[in-house]
Amino acid sequence: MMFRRMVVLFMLALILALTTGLGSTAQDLTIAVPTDPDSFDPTRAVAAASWEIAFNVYEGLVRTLPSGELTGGLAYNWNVDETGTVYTFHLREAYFHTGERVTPEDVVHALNRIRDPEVSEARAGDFSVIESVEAAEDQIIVSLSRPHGPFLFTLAGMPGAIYPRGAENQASQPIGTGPYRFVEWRPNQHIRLERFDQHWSDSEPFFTTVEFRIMPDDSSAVLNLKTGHIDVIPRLEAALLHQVENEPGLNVHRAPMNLVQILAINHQREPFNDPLVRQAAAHAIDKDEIIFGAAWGEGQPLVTGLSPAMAVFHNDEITDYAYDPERSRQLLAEAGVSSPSVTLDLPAPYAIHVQAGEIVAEQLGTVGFDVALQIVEWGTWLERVYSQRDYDMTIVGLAGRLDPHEVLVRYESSSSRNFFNFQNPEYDALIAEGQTASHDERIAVYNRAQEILTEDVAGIFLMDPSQLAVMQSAIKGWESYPIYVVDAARLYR
Amino acid sequence: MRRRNPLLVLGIIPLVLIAALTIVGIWYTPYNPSQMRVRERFQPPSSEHWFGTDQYGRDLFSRIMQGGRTTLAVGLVAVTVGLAIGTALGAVSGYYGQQWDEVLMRIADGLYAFPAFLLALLAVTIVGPGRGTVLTAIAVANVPIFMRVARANFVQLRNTTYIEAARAIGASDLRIAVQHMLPNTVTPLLVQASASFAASVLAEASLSYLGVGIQPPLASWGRMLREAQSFAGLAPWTVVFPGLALALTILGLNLLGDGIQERRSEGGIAQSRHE
Amino acid sequence: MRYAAGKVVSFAATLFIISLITFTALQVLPGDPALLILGTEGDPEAVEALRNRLGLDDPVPIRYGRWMLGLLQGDMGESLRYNMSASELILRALPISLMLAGAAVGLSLCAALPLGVLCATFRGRSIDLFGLTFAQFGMAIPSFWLGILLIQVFAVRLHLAPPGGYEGITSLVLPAVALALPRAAILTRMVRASMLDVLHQDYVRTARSKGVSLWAVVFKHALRNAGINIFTVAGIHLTQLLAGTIVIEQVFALPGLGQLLLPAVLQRDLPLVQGLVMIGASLILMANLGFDFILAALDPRIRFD
Repeated sequence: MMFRRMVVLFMLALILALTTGLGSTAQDLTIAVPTDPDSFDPTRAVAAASWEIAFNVYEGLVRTLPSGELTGGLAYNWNVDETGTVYTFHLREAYFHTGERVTPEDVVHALNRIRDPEVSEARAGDFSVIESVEAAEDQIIVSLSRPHGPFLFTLAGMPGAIYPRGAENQASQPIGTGPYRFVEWRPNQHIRLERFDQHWSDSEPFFTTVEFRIMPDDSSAVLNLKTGHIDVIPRLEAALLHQVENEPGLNVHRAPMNLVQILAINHQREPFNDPLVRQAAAHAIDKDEIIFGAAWGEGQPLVTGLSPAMAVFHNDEITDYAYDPERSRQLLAEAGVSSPSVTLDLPAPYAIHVQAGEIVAEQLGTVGFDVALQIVEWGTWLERVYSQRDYDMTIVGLAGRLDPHEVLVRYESSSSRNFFNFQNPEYDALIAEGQTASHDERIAVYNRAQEILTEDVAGIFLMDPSQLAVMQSAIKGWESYPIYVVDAARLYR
Repeated sequence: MRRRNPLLVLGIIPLVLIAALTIVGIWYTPYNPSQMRVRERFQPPSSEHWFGTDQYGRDLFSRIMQGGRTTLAVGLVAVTVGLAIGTALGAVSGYYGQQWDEVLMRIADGLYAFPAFLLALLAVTIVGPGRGTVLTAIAVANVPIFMRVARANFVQLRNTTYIEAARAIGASDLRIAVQHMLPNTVTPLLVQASASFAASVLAEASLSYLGVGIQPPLASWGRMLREAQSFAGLAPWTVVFPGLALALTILGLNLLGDGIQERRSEGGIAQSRHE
Repeated sequence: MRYAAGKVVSFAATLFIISLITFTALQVLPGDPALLILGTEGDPEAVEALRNRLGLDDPVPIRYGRWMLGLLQGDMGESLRYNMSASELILRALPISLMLAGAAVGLSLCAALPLGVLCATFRGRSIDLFGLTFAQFGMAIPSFWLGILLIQVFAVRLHLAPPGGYEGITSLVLPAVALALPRAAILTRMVRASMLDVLHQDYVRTARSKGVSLWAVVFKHALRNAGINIFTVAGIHLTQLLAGTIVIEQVFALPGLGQLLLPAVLQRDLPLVQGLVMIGASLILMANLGFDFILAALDPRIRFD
């Protein structure tokens, strides 16, 4: 009898061993992303898709936390002098993926390259405030020409990434210090990463390999998720949500995307140069219907130019223009315009903006606007609407940042990104003040700035669509960030 | 009395059906094809929505009626333009021969190497997507095909005694070409036209499927399939019906072409008597 | 020999003309790649600096010269979208497209040759009717529609194949089937027609009446004739196959040339589009050259002198 029991036990053990052997992917993680990075070179990359992946490979002196706050990265701590212009960073003992130790000279080299307009034409502007970067023993001293609130946040992004001196091929063979090291990039296919065992952190990531698989088509990604070919889709189109919701074995995590979907208004054009007409438009818009129709209900209405995802800085006190077609008609009558005709330009590749635009046109139509829809290619949009500011109204998504200055500076009169032609002297003064103020003062400054954006109807702020991260329910530890990244090191099975 | 040609009949039935639906669709559709009723999305086919509804709750039957208009119109215009220009050039080439023939056919051969689809893709790169781009590119791709057909027939007819006789009694070139030669090339041109029509419809559908053809808010069957692919498992009808409409149209056009061809070979005797 | 030399010279000349047309057509037109790269974060200085680095401000002839010079050394320039050598991108995507197209050709021949022969040999019988019906439906069913249906049935319901993306050879099975169907349909009709042609020739009738078996006739004469007919139009079929590959790669999210081309077209990644057009054109022209030689070998009327 004993023998038979042992045989049974042995068989059971064997089956167990075999089945777990089948799941040899236990420590491999596959993540579907829609597009390739444009480059892994911090001086070149501008696409959001690049940092999404490179976030796992590179580190700067400081790192972003899921809350949007900063923590030590390659610097274990830092301090600022009383003028607010000299930052001293203390470098920790960390190693590059090549096994070499990170030296202060590496940091100086990387930061000097990113602020050199000859090397980094797209990014140097973000660092123009830096006057000098110097190494002293295990310290890095960065001097700014003037106090600049967003400085640390800029360092936490991809442009602040530190890589070894003499690294030749960062664009396609990046060497960093992050928890994962780069293995292979096959454009249009995948990017493979491997756990870096010499990382300074005490907690070792669970997954030994991470593969980002390029899947431009979300429906194909969903099929692959359902059939177990991939583990995580970090950003699913809302339209496909119902295919994975309530599906056993899959989990959906919702978080604000920190994106401002704006119905932008050209303030220099008639009839929108009249504040009454702008208010009339604002009262005509039913944001809930737009969120329902264009984002399948997966979004949060906005009241101002900052997403509530930026918890500390967002002004929660602002009251929005209520959806009130009657009031809207009244305001139009007061302004003395009847059935003003306007063109609404919509960027073709972005379904969410196009659909929102179709609903907006209908809503504006009800109160008497005569809206002509015009769907334009992205290239045309950038050239005509964004660069030449030749438009009446448009809908677009403005990507959120970690620091409110980066988001709000867009509405400053002289900003080259101010394609709304919005002008308000008080606002300009606030933006200037915010750069030098202390943290607490900045909260008050930006609260006022947000009020102005709403009062003046700088634009009609529609929604912050939800980021829908879908994954096998076996995958734990998911954290959504207010920036466009996937943090693979936190995940486990 | 010739016996009825079964291919011709088989081909005409689905075509008439789809054409009728499309034409009726200009004035009447059961629902507004572009109006979204999100709460009614993904309704399976029923007596209310014959083909069900799509991801925005739009009535699929109405959308197929409207999409057919775009798809068939692009095909029709592209073929008509290709036919007109191609036949004229082919006729010149075949009638006069020599340098005309040499130059024109060289160009035609060069163009012939590009299927409508690739030519359109190139055009989209250059001027951006849209109905006009697609239509023009497909029409251009059709020109050399008709040129070849027209030329081959004109060359063949040029040296017949019948045409020589006409020339002998002093008929002008234009008169000979239009009155005597053109009627004899009608059948092969028609056969080609239905084949090209089918190819053009397919090219437009493929381009729209890829997202570089017809742009919303215009509906087209290819575009509908692109959007429906995401929901194929959930709402199979959104994939089945537009595809079926496309397949039936192409099937009908191919059968029609085969039918005309067969009729022509049966009628071969009549033609030679005429000569 | 002169035949071969002439073909090769015209090959080179055509390629040169194509390069000239593609380059001018793409470069002269409006649409600023630098602006597209920087998007809504761009300011005028950054855009100008980028234009400078990409060499977009030089006159067109200089840019063409530079491109051509690079091309001759196998360098197609750097893709604007990927910041990577365009040749490298293309070389990585090429095998997938070639394997897909090759598998589709193989499949369609495997289906069309026997079916076409059987149809012609048993003309008017039920097998013929089956073959003709298959051909009609095969030509009418758009391959991308078939692809969508195949994914639903074999990948989603039956779990027999991956539902898209590239994981290895198994990922090519369904796309190859979808791509092969219309080809097989057209080929079946061609094989059947060419066989019928031969079977009705006087010399074949004579041979048959002298007791040569039907199958001997089929394999000795008819297939050769079918081969000549197929290779005469093989070039056209190849371009159609290429077009089909682009669409099918989209259906199955396969990272081949088509998946490289479509975004490049929409984002005005000019070096990549130019490189792809040149590669596509060279492939087609080379294949056509090959078909011409095969045809010359098959068909005694074309001479090599």
